[in-house]
Amino acid sequence: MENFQNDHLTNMGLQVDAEVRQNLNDASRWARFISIVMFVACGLILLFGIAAGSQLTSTFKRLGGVYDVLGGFDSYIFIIIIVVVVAIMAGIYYFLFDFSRKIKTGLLSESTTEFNSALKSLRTFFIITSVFAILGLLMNIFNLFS
Amino acid sequence: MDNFQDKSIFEVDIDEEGKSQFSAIAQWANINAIVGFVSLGLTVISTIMAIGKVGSSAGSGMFSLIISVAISLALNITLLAAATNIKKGIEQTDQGHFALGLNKMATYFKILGILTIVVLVIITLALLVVLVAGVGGGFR
Repeated sequence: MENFQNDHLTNMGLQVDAEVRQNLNDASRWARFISIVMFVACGLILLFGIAAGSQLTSTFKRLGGVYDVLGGFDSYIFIIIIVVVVAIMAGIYYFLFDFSRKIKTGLLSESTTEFNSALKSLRTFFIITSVFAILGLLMNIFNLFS
Repeated sequence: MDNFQDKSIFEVDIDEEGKSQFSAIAQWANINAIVGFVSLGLTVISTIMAIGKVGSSAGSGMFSLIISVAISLALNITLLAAATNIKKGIEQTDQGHFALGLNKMATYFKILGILTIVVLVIITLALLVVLVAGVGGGFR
């Protein structure tokens, strides 16, 4: 009797029930949309940056003011900066895309390995975005007091 | 068929690794939300300081401040609620809190998705303006 109760209690853990499944599906759908839009944005930024690098630097030079910093770069340095920024952006959103892909297959095939792998990708996405958010905050603090 | 549906809905358990991943997600989402709140505070302070210096064009500055405060609050409150509920759900093995946390997480991604669309539209328009300005400058 006692053994039966213990077994029953250990089975009362967290479950992926219908509600959780629905929420994860919604999150996955939006995460996929965001990551695909960001990949397209990365491609467009890269395309614009490479095609119109020199044009943009001359425009920034003419605009002056806050754009003066961007106008100060040579066009090839400007292109390198764009490539690096795009690579970082694509890297971050790859993890979000990976989460959305794996959570969907994990839920469909009921594979715990795939499900946990999806969660790992989401965790990595949050870690990277948090690190960048902290860096942004530090830069804001520096700008405010300098 | 009915048996398959019942099995697929009710018999997927979250193992220890899954719980640990969810805990880590909640922890980092919490950090992300707190950093977001602090950044928002700093933005409010710096914008008010800038408006105080400029004075005359305070209207547009105030408008953009209100918009960014509303967006940032909506995003970070949702993320914080997601993190808190997922954490509670995992720690107390409470299915209700856990489901609510994931619901908030889905809402967070929904808000982020809508914002992504808005930002993309603005960036595209800005790039077009810069390019048109550049081409126009070439004819002078």
